[in-house]
Amino acid sequence: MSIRLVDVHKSFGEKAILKGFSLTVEEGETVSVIGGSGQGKSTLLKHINGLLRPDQGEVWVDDLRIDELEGEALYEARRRVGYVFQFAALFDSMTIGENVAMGLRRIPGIETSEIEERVAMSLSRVDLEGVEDQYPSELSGGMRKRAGVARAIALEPAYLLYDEPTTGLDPVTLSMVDDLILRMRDSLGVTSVVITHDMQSAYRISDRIAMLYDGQVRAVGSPEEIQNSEDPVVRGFIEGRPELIEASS
Amino acid sequence: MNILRAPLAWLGRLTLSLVATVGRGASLAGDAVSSLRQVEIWGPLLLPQMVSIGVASIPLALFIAAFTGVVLAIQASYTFVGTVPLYFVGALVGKTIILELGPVLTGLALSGRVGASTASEIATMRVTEQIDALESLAYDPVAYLVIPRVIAGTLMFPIIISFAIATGIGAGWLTSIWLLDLATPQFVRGLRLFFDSYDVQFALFKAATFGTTVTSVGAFFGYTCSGGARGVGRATTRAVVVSSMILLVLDAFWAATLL
Repeated sequence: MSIRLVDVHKSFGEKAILKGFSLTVEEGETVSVIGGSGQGKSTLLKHINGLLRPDQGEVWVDDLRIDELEGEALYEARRRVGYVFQFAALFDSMTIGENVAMGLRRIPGIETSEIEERVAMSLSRVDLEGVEDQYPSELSGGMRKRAGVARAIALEPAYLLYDEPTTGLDPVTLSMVDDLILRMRDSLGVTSVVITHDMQSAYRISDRIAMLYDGQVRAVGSPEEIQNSEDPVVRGFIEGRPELIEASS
Repeated sequence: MNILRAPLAWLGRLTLSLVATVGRGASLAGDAVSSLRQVEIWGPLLLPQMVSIGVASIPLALFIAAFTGVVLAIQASYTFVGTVPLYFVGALVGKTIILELGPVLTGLALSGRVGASTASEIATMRVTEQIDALESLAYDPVAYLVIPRVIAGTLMFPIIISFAIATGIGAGWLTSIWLLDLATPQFVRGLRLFFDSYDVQFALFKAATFGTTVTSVGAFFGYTCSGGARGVGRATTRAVVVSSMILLVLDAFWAATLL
């Protein structure tokens, strides 16, 4: 049970975003991927559940090569990989209950009562009981993020991908989302990849941190190893000192 | 030298952009054909889309048709007085509304209403990652967003346009008896003079192709949108402009090939 990205290359037009990115995430681990804006962190995450395909390289989830799957086989694989979007990406024409039920409705033969039960349980896991009938626009930013997590975990995935889950949140809500990520790992045993800019959050929730720089993994290690890294690019990023990064390039 | 190069560069960019758009359109059309199999996804969404595209468009279509009928009757009477028997007002109103103004004016109005809403809804979902979310939840987004809208448009445009045709002729008749001192039997005599049931079949077929065009073009520009709120605006504008243009070209094409 692992996620493996092997020598992944991806370009949009002439702009190369990933230039041989390789990373393995082991079962039960939470790995945060840090890096500057526009470095391709979200692009990387979208490769893991097949929303994007690499120009070159391999993407493995367990024993499935995601970048080669098509149709129903890809959908089946996606059910095992929950995705929490940066701004939740809730369907704004649906209630929260309908949002959380969306993925469940694609399970062949599932009963309506089971869908309702799993929606309620998923919302309860993120402390959002009783909001089934509300629309996304009626919720606060933090509640929407949690509803996004509830939608992702409703399918009981083995993996959770979080795209900047704490962006735009106040410190208290941010801490709640961090707790939620830890709780998902501890209670559901999911393997997680978290894209984040927030170093405090990364130190708190991660078993390992990988830094994406210039399309590749610049450094990977435990939070302590990253904190104590001598690499000027890593230091420049975590200390917010662009002159260190510029001097090294 | 730069003066010569600039127009050539512009022409080159335009050609590349057109080729890329046609390529993306063909790719989406291919995806749509293969997504037709996923009836379990688009089937439940068809009726709500038919209501949204069809039923909700009827007031606008009837409003346009009614005033078109009024104007046609008055203008026909103005043109015919002293030269052509006045019962020809019925012939002109009927023939023009069935063959041309009913389908085309309604189609153009709906390219604004339906085309714009299709493009903006799908484009907003694209830029807010809702389409990615659909995919991540194991939904084929083309089956979910494009297919039900295109089928609903294709089915509902003929219905809306047949109501519009009836309303336009009705308005022309009322105008004739209230404002032009024409008796109902005279109006009906004119109406029946050149009536051919093939005209109605032609109008309904044309309406179905307009429905396919407006919804497909709206879905295409929405689905391929990028670039935030500005991209949504651009996609919506392009959907209305391009679908209106295609609609007029189609109108001429069907007239040349089927009449």
